[in-house]
Amino acid sequence: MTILSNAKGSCMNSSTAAESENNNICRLTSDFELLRQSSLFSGLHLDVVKLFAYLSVRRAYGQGDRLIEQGDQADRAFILNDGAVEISISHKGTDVLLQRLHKGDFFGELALLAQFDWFFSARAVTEVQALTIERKAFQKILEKYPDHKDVLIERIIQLRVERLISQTTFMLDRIVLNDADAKASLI
Amino acid sequence: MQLTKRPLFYWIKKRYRALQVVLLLVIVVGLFFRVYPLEMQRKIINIAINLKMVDKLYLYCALYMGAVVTAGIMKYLANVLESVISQKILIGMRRELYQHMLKLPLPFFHRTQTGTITSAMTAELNAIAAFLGGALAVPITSVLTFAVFLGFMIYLNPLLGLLSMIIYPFELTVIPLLQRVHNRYNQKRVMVVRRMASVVNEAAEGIHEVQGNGSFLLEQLKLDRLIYRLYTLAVRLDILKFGIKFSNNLFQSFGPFILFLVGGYLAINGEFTIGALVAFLSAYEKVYDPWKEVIIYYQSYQDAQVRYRQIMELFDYQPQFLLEAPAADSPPMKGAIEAEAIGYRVKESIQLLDDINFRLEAGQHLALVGFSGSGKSTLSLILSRLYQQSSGSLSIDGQPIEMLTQAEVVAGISTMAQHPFIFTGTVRDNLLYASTALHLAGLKNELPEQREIFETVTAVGLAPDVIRWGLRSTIPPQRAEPMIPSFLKMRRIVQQQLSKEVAQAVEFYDVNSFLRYSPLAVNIMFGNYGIAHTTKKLLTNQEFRTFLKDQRLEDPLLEFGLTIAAATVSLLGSFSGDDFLFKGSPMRPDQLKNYARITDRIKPGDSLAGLKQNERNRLLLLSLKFIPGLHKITTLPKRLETAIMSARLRFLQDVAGIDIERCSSGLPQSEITALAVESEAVPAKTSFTPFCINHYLYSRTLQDNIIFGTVINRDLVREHLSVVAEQALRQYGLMDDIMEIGLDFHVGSKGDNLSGGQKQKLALARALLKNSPILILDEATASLDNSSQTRIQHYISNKLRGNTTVIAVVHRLDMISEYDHILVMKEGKIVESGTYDDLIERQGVLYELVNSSRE
Repeated sequence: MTILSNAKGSCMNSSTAAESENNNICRLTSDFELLRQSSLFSGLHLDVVKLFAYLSVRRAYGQGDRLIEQGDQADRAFILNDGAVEISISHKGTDVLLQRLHKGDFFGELALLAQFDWFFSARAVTEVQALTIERKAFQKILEKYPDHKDVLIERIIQLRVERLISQTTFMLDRIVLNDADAKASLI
Repeated sequence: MQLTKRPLFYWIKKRYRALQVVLLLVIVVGLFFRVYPLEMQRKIINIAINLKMVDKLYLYCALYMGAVVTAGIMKYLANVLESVISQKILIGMRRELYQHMLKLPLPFFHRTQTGTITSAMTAELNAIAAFLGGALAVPITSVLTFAVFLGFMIYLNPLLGLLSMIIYPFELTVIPLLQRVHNRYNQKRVMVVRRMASVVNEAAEGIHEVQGNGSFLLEQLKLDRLIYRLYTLAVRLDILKFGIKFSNNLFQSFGPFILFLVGGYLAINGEFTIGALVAFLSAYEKVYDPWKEVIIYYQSYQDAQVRYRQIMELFDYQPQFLLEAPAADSPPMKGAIEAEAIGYRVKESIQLLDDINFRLEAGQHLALVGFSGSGKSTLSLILSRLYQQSSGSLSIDGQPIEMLTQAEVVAGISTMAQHPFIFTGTVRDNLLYASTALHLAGLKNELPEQREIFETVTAVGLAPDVIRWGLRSTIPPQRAEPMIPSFLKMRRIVQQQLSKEVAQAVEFYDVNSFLRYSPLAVNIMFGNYGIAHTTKKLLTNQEFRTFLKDQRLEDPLLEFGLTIAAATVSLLGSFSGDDFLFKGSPMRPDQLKNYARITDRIKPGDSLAGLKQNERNRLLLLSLKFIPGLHKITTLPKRLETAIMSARLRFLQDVAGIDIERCSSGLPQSEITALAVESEAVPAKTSFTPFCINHYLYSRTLQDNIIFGTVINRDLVREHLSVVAEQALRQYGLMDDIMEIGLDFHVGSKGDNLSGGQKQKLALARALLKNSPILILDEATASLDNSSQTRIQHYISNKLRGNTTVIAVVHRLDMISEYDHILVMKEGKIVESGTYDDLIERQGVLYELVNSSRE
């Protein structure tokens, strides 16, 4: 708690009410709030969330920009702060849409746990603000707070399962409802 | 003789004989000058002093001193020579051993821990070296010296001389006894140290597992056992060592005891002169020197012998790869392959491959298809000669492979493994790895030319990556110089075409906007100092300091520095030493203590009056290095931002003398009076460069220069920039230059800076550039996206068919129709063999596989 109050204090010093109207509002505090309310970090010790907020990096994307490119090295997870993103997989030369994500959604969370190349792409459909967390940051923080490891891994797996279910449902819906040929072949 | 069977003295007897003879001579000459002063001692006392002849005294003293000095110089020379010889021998030993190690069969490396090999090749060899130099000269001279002094003593008084030797036989029996025990412990010590190296090495290599499982105690336990074992051994070794020393000293003091007793008695009775007694005592002491040397020599010989044997035992295998040159008249390999009943067994019983038969004409392409575990990879390893088949025969161009020399095989077959190894070094080093190896072995006359390299890089789809690496490099001034006009033109193009697209990913240098991704110092000056310039240096610039004071910036910056320091100390105070965690602060981990000392005394908001000069500098440095967009530790007050923006204009106009209008429009400046910090000779490269549209920034990457801004999000820029940049590079004829620069990109340790796909493309290009008649690919494109896989497959089918025999383990069945022949494998056997059309028509296993993969 001391970390929190101190860091907040230094933030308060520099951003009076008048200043917070322009773009100099304290980033650390607002990112901290975003993470604290996210599904991954809610309920964790505030010092830990604070460190994640400190080590996370903000990124802005224009409409159509790729946040994740299939085949690139996966080194960070994303949480959407603003805007919408489409997840797709390129299969035999065509991009197949899997899901649409919105503010507050996490994606790429597996990158926190392991090294691999991205198996999907993420494209901004509007202007997008995202907060990214590098795997290295995740590892460093858990080195310091090893007790949190089990909880975080469990939540990452839960996130992944949720994603898998919704993406599978989405694809099955499309096959069953739209594609008559596919429907025929299933029977 | 096989390297590992050579005795230790082989190296000494066969190497640098001339130098060793010189060493021996030097030692013998030195020896003479060591005996000579003894004779002078006797003459000084017996003749000069006794007969009171002052001129003789001078003469003898001068001769005495001269001899002592000469002996010293000879000793010095001998030491230097010894060290030179030992290092020279060590070079040869290490090189030959390394070559031997590299050629050992793969199973050796599976069995032996990397740490053991490393420690044997490095520290353990070093320990032997100290012994090598004097290995021959020292014992010879020691024995000589001993004999000479003994002779001198007997010449003075035979009885006394023999008496003083009485103790040596005792020593000769006791000391070797102790030494043998010492050796045994020493041998054990070497083993323990090796195991320790292995444990540490293993933990370092598997650090992911260790940290991932928090198995710190587990690993510690592994090491602890060895540490305590080592402790016991070290103590025992020292007990023995000092025991040897003690007994030696004890024996040694028996000498004077006998001398004084008998010599004194003889002198009192007038049978012996005082001068002779003094000389005798000196000689006796001198006898001790060679004796000591013999003992030290004996110990280090034993020690070296133990270590040497252990190293050689470790590597004592028959090397498998002998690159003897092929016969001059042997025809060039064409690449026809025939496999007859090839089988491969491990541990005598497990049959991994059984009865593999096929025939391939030169230039034909063969696909190996099958379930995982069917033996495809094993077969490809046998074909590339990394494994040896247990039965059956393999021939190339009709010749059994055993008839070919290793050199022919290595040059004739190019292999790309499933998980290729990328070496530490540049992209170029890796691309040319195979060709350079052949070149050095004299099997290939020339390295591939630039054109061929670029073509191959393009064929495997690595070209865009190489261009990107080139763009991300900071180019040395002399290399950049001729291209600068073109770069500046490209900058214009990017500004016109891309400023909208990359707006989110780049912060352009606009004199009227605050640069959130540049340090405050850069924001104030709106420019860069050149290569190797630091913010710390800027602080020593009086002009800049005066400017900060005049603009009333110093105090706000100091206050802000204090805020940064306080926030960093409070958030990261317990994480000192971790670079990664400090990336959100301008402070370096090693500076934490210094700043903590400041913030302990003075808190943000306190008066700054109590700050010492060096503390002010520290805080100012922190503040000037603060990058608002990156350093999340705190937020820049809006007031300070505004102050910096107005100071910037003053700085550009008043201090740097720049016309801001011209700077941003690109019209030539009348003259820029740069802040002169560095040498005046090359002002543009090292001194201040403003962010003017027509100034090249030497300290920035090419990409920064072309974009004329700071790249915030590399991935996004890549997407937009690559098309425009490639086009422009081609337009200005700079593509080759950029590719050349990109080839010098450092891939990191074992290729850590590369993605899986990049590694695979690089390894494939490396295999292609080897230009061998036979190419073996084991899932060469598995990590690549579909379009890259297809493109590479087309390249292989179109360009290589007819010239290169290709055998490929293929996992994507939609591409196998491009192969001349297909082998379908299952459980180590061939279940189907034929052309694609035949096999599909037959509706067998392949048909099933292809259809199931389509669904």
